[in-house]
Amino acid sequence: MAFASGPSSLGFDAGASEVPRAFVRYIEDLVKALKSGHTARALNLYENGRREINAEHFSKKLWPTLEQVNAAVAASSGARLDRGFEAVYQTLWLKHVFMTDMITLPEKDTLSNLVRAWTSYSAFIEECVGPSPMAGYTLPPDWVYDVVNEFVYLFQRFHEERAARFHRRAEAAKSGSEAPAGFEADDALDAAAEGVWDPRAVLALLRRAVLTSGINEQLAAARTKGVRAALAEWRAPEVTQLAGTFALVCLVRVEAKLGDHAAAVEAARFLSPQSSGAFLRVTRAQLSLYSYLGFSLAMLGRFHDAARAISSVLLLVHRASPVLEDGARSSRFMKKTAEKMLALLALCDALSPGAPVDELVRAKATDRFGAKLTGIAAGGTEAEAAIADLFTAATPSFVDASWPPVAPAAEGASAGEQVFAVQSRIFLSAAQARAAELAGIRSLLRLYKTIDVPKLARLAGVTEDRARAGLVALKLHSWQAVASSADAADAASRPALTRAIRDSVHFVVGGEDGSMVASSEARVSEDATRELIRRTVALKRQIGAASPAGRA
Amino acid sequence: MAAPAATSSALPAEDAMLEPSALPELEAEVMSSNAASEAVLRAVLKQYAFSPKVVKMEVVHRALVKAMTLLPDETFMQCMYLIPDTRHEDGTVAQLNNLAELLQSGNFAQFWELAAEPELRSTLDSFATFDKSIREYVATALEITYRRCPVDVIASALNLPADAAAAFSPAWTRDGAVVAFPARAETEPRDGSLEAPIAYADVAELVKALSH
Repeated sequence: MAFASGPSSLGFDAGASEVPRAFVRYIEDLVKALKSGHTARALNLYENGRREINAEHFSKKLWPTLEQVNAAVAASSGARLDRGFEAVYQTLWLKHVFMTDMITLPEKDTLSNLVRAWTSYSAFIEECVGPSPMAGYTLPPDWVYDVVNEFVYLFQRFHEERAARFHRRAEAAKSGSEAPAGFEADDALDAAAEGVWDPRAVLALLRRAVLTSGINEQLAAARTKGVRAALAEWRAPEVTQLAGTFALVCLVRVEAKLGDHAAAVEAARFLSPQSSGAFLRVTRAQLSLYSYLGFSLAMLGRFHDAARAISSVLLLVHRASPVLEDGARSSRFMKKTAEKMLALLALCDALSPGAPVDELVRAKATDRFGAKLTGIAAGGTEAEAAIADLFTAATPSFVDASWPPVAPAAEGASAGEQVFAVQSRIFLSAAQARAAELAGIRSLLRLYKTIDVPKLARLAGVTEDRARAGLVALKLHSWQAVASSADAADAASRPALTRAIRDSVHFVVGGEDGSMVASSEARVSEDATRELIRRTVALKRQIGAASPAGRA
Repeated sequence: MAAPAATSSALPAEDAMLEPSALPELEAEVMSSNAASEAVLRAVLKQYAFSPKVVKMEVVHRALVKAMTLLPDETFMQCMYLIPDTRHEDGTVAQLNNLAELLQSGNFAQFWELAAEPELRSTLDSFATFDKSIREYVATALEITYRRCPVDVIASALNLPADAAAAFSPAWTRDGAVVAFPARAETEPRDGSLEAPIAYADVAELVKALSH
């Protein structure tokens, strides 16, 4: 089928019939930088050079087609672009269409270019993990991350566009009217879209990149040998390492977006917040990974693990780039992601008291979401509303990759919104029940070191049976699956989870007649120890700065 | 079960189970009397989520029944996340979800009451070991909460006559109207601090700062 190279009547110019000389130079410089391994130069051309060339020549215009560029480069230097750069160029062409806000495509061309994106982006990833990856080009980590990241965005966008198209046509058919402009039946386009961006193929491609790169083996090795040794012994080509690592990040993201949280958590089984930075190399990737991993852990009720992972990563990232400070010069994406993570952290911390959260991060979460936390502590409808608000603030967008799509349960709901409806209903039901236990029975256990069940029931305003059920529920919900440090020591193993009570209030029911509740509240020592370490480090720095050598 | 045959033998197990050609074997496994496999349940429901036209509701129901027997694992919740919005309106799906909520909220007597309703009972009975698995879950829930528990509370929770309930586990000891449970970490007295591991990175930072 013909892809949008588009007539000018569509409101933008098709690929320049004459390729601007500056663009040819730009492409030649890019090829040179990538071939010579000058990644800083390549990154500058990719980020700043591209922005300038777009502003000057392509603000409302598509980039030239690959054939046009090939011809122009051949005319200029006598050489043709090789296979590796062709894969790069195709993704850059689509990046200009979908990521710059410069191009507005008609409905039909949007879908046809999303179809094309499947071929181009999957070819890029295949090329990165192929036998002679990217024909020897050295791509900067940020660039490779962008491509794999965009792969997921385009997967989601394709399913949204195709489902919207399907429903608009179905509505028109139902009312006996013509499909709106841009949504008319197009057999060629429908045929081209068949099987494209299939979720199975998307997952398989990402998993294949992970496997080929050996990232999981290296992450497992880092647990036993240390990060430095694991990185040193990693033999895969650089671009394969990068593609595999970012494929892992995006695998977690895709599984979470599809609502398979168990698969998301399993995909990340070898990662730890402490070692992930050295492997991921791109801060955005680290933040994105842990926002999705934390979310999936929370969706499975593993609030303790979720809070621990989010807290660790937010702190690590914040040290490098102060994403938690108001007015910090971090990117919009990083601030938005950090904000989502803070909301999730506040929720997990409230639902799993005693979770190991760094005090700085907890203070930021409390500053930002204090009113919601007060609402949760209050219980009742106020808690339900606060939990729902925090959940909405923490939730990513979802993908409904079903085909043909099911008619929405709520009129006008998009495919992703339907998945959100399911996820939120199930999560909120469990989370709100948990909050009720915390505000009811648990709050009484904090007041009484011993209390018998009838009195507990009286004070809680429930029957004795209900009080006993509440005690069991409180225990069950505190009995969370926790990843042990010895978990997944080699790449072939599956996560072995243990269950442990994760609540600062510990209690047991016993006594002569099995009706006496004895409870105690533990102090979380981690925060105090961390605080001591932080203050010692700060003091040492101050002493260093005040010394003559430090002042010099 | 072993990963079903895939169109490509090179596919990792996770991907092989998502191949449309693997679906009949996965469905047969879900409908079998074999113990539940979390990976298989998830793979079937994911296939259904991707291809709504091939959904068989009796397989969905059986998958949820089996997932319930894996409590306290999160498999049931995970399975519910994979069932599309419109299918949640199915009466049996909603009832099975109610049952799981009752189990997770410690309302065991109400669970058995609802599970006894004829329509639901036939769905639950389709998996022969359902009641046994649920009783094991309930027994564990009681063991992590109680050191000593009244026999009538256990009987009601397990939906068994008092004598049978008190003798449910060989590790339990009856003492008149009370059963003593064996000691477990979850019911041991705890000292004043929570387990709080300090990350290597934190200690490394301290050592680095102090050694300069």
